[in-house]
Amino acid sequence: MATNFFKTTPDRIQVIKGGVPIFDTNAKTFNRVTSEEVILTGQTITFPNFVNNTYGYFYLNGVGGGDACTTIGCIPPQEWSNAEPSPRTLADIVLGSLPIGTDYIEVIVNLARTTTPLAVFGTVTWPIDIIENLDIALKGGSCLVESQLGLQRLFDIVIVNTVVSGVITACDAVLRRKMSVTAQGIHAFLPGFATHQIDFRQGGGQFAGNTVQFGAGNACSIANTRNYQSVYTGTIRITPCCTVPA
Amino acid sequence: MTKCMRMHGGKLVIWEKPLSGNPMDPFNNPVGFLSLIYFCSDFDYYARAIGATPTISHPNIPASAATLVVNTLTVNISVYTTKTTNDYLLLTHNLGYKPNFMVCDSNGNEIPHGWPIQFAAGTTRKITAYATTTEIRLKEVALYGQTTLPPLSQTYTVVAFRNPDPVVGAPGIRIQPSRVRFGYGKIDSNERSLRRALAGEATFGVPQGPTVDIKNGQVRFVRADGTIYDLNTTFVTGASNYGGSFTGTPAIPAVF
Repeated sequence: MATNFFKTTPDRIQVIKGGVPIFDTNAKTFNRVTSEEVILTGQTITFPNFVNNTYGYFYLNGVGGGDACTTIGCIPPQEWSNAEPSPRTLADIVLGSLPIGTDYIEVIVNLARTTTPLAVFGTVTWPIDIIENLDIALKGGSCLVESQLGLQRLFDIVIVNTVVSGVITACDAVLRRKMSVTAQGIHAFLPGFATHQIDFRQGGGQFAGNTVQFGAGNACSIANTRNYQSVYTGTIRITPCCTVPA
Repeated sequence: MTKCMRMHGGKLVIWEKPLSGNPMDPFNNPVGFLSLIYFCSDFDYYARAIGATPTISHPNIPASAATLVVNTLTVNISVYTTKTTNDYLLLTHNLGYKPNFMVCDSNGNEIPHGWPIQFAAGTTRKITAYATTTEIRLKEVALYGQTTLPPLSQTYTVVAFRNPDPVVGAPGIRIQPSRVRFGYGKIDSNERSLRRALAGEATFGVPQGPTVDIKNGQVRFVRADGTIYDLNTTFVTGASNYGGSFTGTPAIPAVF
């Protein structure tokens, strides 16, 4: 049988079993303060529409008995975060207060996407990385929710301390969101994230030369009216912990 | 640095004596003096219930043909659309509730949600661990691309923590040669609790902050030990690389 010890000195308290520390004030146990949990039900996490929704234009003359054009909807390269200028600012959202001294949070979410952009090219479900309707422990607080082909959406749940004159006066659990679209793309005329075919027209002589013909009688439509907003809804549970040595 | 311990009124607290003020303040208000608390019977702890080190055989992910999604006289566009999911048993705990748990890789890094364990040229294998009332399981999502990923055998360290409620009948403090218990069952020499590591101990890295960042439409994952994984993609217009400078958040070296 392993020998158990309870050892106390003025500067250290230990429980040791068979030489292995079970409890040791020199190796702080994760103190979970469940009485101060932040539990949010019906919480929404919104990723807004991207800016400058645009299109790629592909034109050929003298094909199929006349000129032809195709327009492809595209989200151009862009970055969104709490540090980006307006209109690409995603402001931090305070989810709740935590005890001062919190240095680790246990985050468990159960989310489903309740607003989904239309399928990509009609058949490919809009990217989703989070597993819906399942209790997911977000170790470190990060959650990549949409990730594919140069388009990313991410949220973090982080600890933010308010410091006044070197003293922590408040501690909050904060939701921080980011969105990013690549500067490259799946076609030379489509930098960013291509999403759908807007239009295709063929025939007639209205596409003279190599000049892009917008607004002509049989020109391809260029209006990209899609809304790429995503919304996730569900439960978020944040348990504050303290592990930092006193 | 003076350690204090007191049991009174159904509460046991171990704390660091404050440098100023009433030395009993942390006992009277543990939440208000959280950073000085080593143990409080009103708090909860990650007490290990059961653990295992299963080896999972992740299957081959074949290269996929791209799907033609736009095909007109002026432009053709193809994308990769295949996505498959596999689900594996890591540990049977039979606790009757969804416990807290940890799943670590063979290098001792706790694995966050949606973590890539294998990737090449657009083909990616990501994993997410989750709990049921009887098991800890691993869900694998594979996104197919132009490259085949070979089978992967991966060993994980898995531990399920028991419900942290007080143990009925457990003492405030009882010290015996065979067993030491205090805090009404919350600390028991018969079970380990998650704690910071002492110098020289083999540790697991517990992420203390964000593990993922995005920039230029690409994603960077940073493992608890600081290893960086960039899942870059090459498009016809050139390489699309992560464009930020994220290097991760220092992890907590822990044992359980």
